[in-house]
Amino acid sequence: MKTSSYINRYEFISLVRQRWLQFLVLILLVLVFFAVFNGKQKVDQRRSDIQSAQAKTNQKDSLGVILLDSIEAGYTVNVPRWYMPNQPHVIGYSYPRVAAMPPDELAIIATGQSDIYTHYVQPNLYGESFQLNYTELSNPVQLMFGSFDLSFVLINLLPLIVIAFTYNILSQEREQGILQVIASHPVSLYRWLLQKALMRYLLLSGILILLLVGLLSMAGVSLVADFSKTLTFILLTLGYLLFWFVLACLVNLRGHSSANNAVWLIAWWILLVLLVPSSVNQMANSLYPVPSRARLINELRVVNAEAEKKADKLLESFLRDHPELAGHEGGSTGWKEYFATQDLIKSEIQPVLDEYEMKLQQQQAWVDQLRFISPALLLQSSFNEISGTSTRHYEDYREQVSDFSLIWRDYFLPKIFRGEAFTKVMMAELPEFEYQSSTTHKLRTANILAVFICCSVLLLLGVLWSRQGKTSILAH
Amino acid sequence: MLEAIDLSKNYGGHEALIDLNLFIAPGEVFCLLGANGAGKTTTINLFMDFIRPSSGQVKINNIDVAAQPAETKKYLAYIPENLMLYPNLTGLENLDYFCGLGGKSNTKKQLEELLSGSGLQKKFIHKRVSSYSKGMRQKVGIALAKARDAKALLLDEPTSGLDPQASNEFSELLQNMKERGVATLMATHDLFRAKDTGTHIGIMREGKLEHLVKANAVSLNELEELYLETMKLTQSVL
Amino acid sequence: MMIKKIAFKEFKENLREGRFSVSTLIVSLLLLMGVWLSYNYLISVQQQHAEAKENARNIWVSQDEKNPHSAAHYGTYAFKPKYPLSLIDPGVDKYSGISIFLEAHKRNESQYMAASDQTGLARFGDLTPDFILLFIIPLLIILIGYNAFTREKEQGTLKLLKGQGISLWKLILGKWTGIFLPVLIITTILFVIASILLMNVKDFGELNYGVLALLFLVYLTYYAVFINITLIVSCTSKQSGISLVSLLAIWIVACLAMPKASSNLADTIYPYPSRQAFAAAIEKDKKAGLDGHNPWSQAAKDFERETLEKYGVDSLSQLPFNFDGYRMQKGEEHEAQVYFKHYAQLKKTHQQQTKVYQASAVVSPFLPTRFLSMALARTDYGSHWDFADAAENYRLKLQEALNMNFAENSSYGDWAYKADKTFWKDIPDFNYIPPSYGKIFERNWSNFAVLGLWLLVSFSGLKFLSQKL
Repeated sequence: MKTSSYINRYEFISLVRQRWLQFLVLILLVLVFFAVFNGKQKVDQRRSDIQSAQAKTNQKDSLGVILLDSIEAGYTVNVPRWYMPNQPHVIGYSYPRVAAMPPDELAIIATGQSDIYTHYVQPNLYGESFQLNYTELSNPVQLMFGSFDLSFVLINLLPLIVIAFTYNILSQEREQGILQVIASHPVSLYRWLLQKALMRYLLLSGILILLLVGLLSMAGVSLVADFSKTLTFILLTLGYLLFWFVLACLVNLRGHSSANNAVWLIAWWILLVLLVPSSVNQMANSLYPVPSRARLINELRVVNAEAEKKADKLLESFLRDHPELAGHEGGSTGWKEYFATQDLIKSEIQPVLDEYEMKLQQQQAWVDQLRFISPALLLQSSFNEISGTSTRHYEDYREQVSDFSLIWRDYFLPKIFRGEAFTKVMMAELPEFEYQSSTTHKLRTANILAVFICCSVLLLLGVLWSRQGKTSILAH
Repeated sequence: MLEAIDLSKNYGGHEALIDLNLFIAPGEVFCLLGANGAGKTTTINLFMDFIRPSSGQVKINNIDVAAQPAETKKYLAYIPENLMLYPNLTGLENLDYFCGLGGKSNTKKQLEELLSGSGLQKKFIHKRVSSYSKGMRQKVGIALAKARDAKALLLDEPTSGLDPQASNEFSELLQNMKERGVATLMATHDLFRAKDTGTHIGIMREGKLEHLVKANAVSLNELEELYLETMKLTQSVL
Repeated sequence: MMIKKIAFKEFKENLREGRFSVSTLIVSLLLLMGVWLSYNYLISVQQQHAEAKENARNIWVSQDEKNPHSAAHYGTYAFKPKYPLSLIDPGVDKYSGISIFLEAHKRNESQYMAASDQTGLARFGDLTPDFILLFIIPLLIILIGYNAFTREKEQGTLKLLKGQGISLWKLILGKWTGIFLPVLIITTILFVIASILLMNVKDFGELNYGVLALLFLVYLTYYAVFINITLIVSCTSKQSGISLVSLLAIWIVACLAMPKASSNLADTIYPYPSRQAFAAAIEKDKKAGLDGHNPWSQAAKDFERETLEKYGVDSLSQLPFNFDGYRMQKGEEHEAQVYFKHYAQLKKTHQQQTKVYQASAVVSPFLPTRFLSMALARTDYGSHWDFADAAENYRLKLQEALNMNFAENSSYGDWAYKADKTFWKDIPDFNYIPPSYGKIFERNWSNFAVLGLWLLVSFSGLKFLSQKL
């Protein structure tokens, strides 16, 4: 047998007898299970919200079809005149589609921004899409505490488990006096340490991957649907794990006591997982502050008021507030003016809104560049990306809805202007919204590379150190 | 087999070892006597490559330790004052592991024979080391030295803290190693053991090897006198 | 005397250890940075808020002549004020929106939460004083104290001390004081700096020093609990390493895992409705009653008949007021009731969730401290509800004033009626006066109780250990 297999074998036996392995399996099982459970619950909630909205829409649609059927057959129907579905604007206003953002396959992994934003809206003929409220109704305490999801377990807690598992990988042997005995053998201490660490790393990775794959599959997540994403997820997790292992070994190589190692590793954890992210966020906010929303509210009102003044020439002000009443006057009077006003307001407001978008994008770009400072940042952004719950996804969704509401409007406007009747046939050809979840492969590859580069740099550092520092590990 | 040539070591101005020269041939047991801080452990650590010499050379089997530490360790076995083993592994497993690190694999039967041959009671062979006494751990150490077929043995006060019976057993094992042609360097406080098991005895003081005598050339009383004489020098200087 | 001696010996010993001075220095620097950043943020937000509030009023007052109901649709904004103590704990401010649009027929949610104007990183938290006070200082306590007893055991000095007949309780108290002292100094410095800064700012409204002192006490209690736990673990552990790892595990569970877990738990047991479902339920109830804009509905017809009967006239135009305005007001009242009902349900869910959090506080001393700190700083969810409710009350009064002006000054069918420009000024501005601290104490009594319980139990545990050891 080779030396390495002796090390592996007895390292394993030791871990089992110290109950470390059992403890690891148990704690990882509990954490991953709870996280997957929470993630699944949120995703299921999201799905069922969308489904029930869709069901309601379908129900309404079929009622509409029945009404249209009767109207077209020449029967009188017991519906107020302003609610008759044979008028295109009634359909456009009262029969909106569900513009939903269904969860991505791996949405369970990271809650991301999904607890802040809503997952379906129903843009209609009148409201402008920028006026839609995309924030979800939620208890802000929950937003503050955040969710106990897989990304929290993997990014925040996993390093701590690694630290607890390896903070004394070398120092314990020294403190027990065994290291001297090891050193009297013709085996390089660095190789010996590397083998031990590798063994523990592979063991932990194996348990973790098994648990992740098993529990995710049990939760009904298809891991092969988008295999490249699953692979990214696993590679990133393994890379992150490796990073903390290498760091723990380096700290051990300093040759201090176990308690000292633990303090140092915890300090690194606080720095990389708690302080760096919040500092980067704080800096992003100070460098690219999004202008005050309080100011925006008033600016919008001023712009709005001016646009309205111009539009007053076009339309009676009351009718503007109650376009649904315009139908009573019959025909197409007022419609052109109404939409003209809306367009005017929109074009005046757009620059103000664009400024906000720009600042946010600058912030995001800056944060994206800085994500290489801490592997925790890298993982967070990647996990949100994989889960389709990043800020970018929600921006994307809003844009798609905005495009859709134009399509919706453009479908009805000609009919309204021509005074055309809405028919049963048209019900089937209404524009539908389908959310396209976009992913950026480049970003993902870059993130995986970055995590492994972080590890390699640390490893290299360790190798250089061992070359020149020689047997300082025996000291103290 | 074990050789020190003009060996010196100083720790930031403190001279721990000054110009040590010694040669230990196969089958010889060299006992180093001296007060705490005389340089005994430093000498052993230099042979182990735990520390590097400030000047001079350490050689094992004519190979420079500083140049090829891994190579020299192939010939070496080491038993410190308090030999520590993995408490959660049995004596046999510990032996197997350390043999593996030395690149030697043994069958279970061989390992059992080695352990019982070193005086470890049969019922303890498959018990965890956490239940072992110090003497039992030392026996595992001897078994390890035998298993690895070491040509040189480094012992750092191996009998301190052992009860007389265990201490006696240990001496017998040493005798056995001597007969196998192992060169032994042992640091000790125990004049009686040194006289009893050693072939050569060196008395160290403040990093210097002050006296070197053949064990069979002096009586125990003479050795004690010589030792105390040497130590007195220290006190008078103080 | 003895305790003092031990305390100073501990303090001195700590000072000589690099770990202590370095970590204390870092924590102090972080705190100063946090205060500085928060202060700047607070000042700028406060300015924006004052400016926006003034502008909103100006825009309202400078409306042209128009139909009061058009003005009602035009609406105005209520801006949530910032309170001085949010310098120390910004609480949920980032997640609760800054303003509420007050318009006819609709109760709006507050808009523009700061978190949605930041990148995803915002969810990691901010470098604010509360972050350091709640998370980092307990860690500091652990770092200073984890080996308070294990060190003595490892060095064998514990036997020495016992041999000299020192009472263990006194030894514990001495060590306790030795750890508490540096923490007390850091916290005091922070609170003094904060109050000096706040004294120099005018527009924040009154700074209540009693509450500031209470907040200070809450944090000290929290630290006392952590010191007790640290000493208990150090007392019962065999090695420093084990003591450190166990304490860190406790910290992670109490400060990181429990808040998240309890938030998931609260959401599972008492889920909030989705925004759309909530809105749809309101819409349904609204439709069942009187709609001020819909004279053709059954409810409107009934209401018309009742009104005619009540005033003993045959047609709406014979009424002494404009029936359109009157119906509008009655519709508004119906809608207000619908909103009241649904928001009461939402509030109930919120209160049930709060109970889950309060129950979880039994497992983590972090939670009661977290909630008390926010509540005293008036940055908790309850304070947000207070504001939202007040804004809704104002909205209803505003609508009433507008509708009654319409009803009383025009005749039926006269949609062309326009109110005078001066009328806008006669409607009072929205001036929010937050509820008294008495109400806040009442709402948070269980948090006070649980925190007190933690202190009591952990102290008793320590005392018990001192007799057993």
